[in-house]
Amino acid sequence: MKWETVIGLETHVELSTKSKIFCGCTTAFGGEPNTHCCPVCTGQPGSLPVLNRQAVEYAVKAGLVLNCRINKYSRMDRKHYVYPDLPKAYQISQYDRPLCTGGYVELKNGRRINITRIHIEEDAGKLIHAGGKVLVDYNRGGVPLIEIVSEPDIRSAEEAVEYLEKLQLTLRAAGVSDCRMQEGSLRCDVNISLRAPGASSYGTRCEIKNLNSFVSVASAIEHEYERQRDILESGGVVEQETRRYDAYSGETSAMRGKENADDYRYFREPDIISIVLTDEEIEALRASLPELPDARKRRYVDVLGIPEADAAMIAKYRRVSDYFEAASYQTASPRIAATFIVTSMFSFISTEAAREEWLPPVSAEQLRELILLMEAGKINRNVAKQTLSRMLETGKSAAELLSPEELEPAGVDVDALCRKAIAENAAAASDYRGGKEKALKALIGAVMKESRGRAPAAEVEASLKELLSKT
Amino acid sequence: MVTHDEVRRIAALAKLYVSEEQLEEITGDLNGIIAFADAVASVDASGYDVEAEDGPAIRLRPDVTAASYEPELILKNAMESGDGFFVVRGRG
Ligand SMILES: [Zn+2]
Repeated sequence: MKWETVIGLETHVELSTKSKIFCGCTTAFGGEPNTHCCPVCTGQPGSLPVLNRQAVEYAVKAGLVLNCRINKYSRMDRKHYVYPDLPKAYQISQYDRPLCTGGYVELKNGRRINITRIHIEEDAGKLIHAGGKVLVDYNRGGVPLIEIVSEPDIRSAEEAVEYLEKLQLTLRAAGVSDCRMQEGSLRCDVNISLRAPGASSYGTRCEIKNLNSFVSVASAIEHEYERQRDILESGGVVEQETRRYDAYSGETSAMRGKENADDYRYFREPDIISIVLTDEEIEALRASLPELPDARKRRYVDVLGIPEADAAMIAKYRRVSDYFEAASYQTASPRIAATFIVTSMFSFISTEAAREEWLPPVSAEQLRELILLMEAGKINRNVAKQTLSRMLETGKSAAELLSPEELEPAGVDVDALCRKAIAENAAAASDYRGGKEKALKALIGAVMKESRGRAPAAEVEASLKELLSKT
Repeated sequence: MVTHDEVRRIAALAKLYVSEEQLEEITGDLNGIIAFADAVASVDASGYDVEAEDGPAIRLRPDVTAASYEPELILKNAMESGDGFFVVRGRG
């Protein structure tokens, strides 16, 4: 029997504020232990938290880009548990009145993974277990987090990873977090249960805590599926419990059972009054949002005519998108810049991290110059491609690298090519004469094809227009 | 009314040891606090909208960093410390 996997994710994302959520200590990663600390973030008696405006604004932006409703009224609560990573023995979080509710992430297959809520809270400190002792560093304590809680709408490890990738992409694009999993700025807890296909109720779920890579999320889900399936198929009962995932063995093991289930004794944080946002504040934040990767990709495909796969690869990285837009600015065909970026440049800059950072030796303006040379018919596509490789290796511009002979005009007879194109494409020619401006593209295309890309596009267009206006 | 068992449970969650002698006293104290909260809750506040935008506005802090404390000062009151860390024994 094939069981259906039911998965819900709780994702913690560190916000990109400069200072912590309740004090002015820096959020910079690293640092000597306990050097980014003050009485507030180490929970000293008498200290008082003051909420960081930027943390609230970033959380609202996260809510907006994830299609949430922003609650004009929300408040902070204390979540109690005694553990050394929490100096106050409670975490300031949000309980029944979170900042954002509702919302969704859409997967490639069109399915929506609904988001229950997004709330703000403070991060805990870091523990290092050494012998019988526990060493505590509160540098991360008090760094602002959002927790994004999904509905149990995810059905496989692949969907879970796609959901997380989409969150990462969207939140990065919105500028609210760098979402670096290796630095722990994006991590998640996975709730998972199995049920017979078609069943309407859920099975007993287990929670796997603190997964900090896509690989471990996928592998923890797969292992947990097998474990629960084996229990169910041997007639057993899955116990509700919290489990931990071991990246080395790829297995999960029990941390605590239901009898020790969390009892956080939430109550209102008396030191922080309610957060009240106005419609104007929310709308101003909405207006400040950049164009998101999905929207950018759509525009590249629909408006610029970039192939879907290339558009997706470019829109995935904000800096590559900006670069592409600068390099293709006022060129005849933005497809050329797109192709050069995803082929030559992506094989030169090959890692995810480097593409994210995007510091190519060729500036967008240099790439644009190269494309303009090609479109003017000074060099053909092959020469352009070879020149780009040399530009990437040397950091020099096309003008510096190309010899005068290489830059000679291609020597194509534009007039003859245009007459031939009109003769061979009578339908397009008469469409254009009949007022269909778009039909000219087909004729330009025919000339370019015939000349193997060597004809200067601007000259071809002018010549065609002239010839077509005569008869 | 809070029972002895509830006080034992709350103490356990807070990792506090409460002796049998203290149990009676603490249970009495907690019941006194709850009676006080009940008295506050009995006030008629039906005309007051807690979510109204015209309530006291929260004062938010601009996102500006300030100097942190010297770690010696942060660790000054720790029961045990070493190499810049707070040190906790056992399983916390
Ligand atoms: Zn601090």
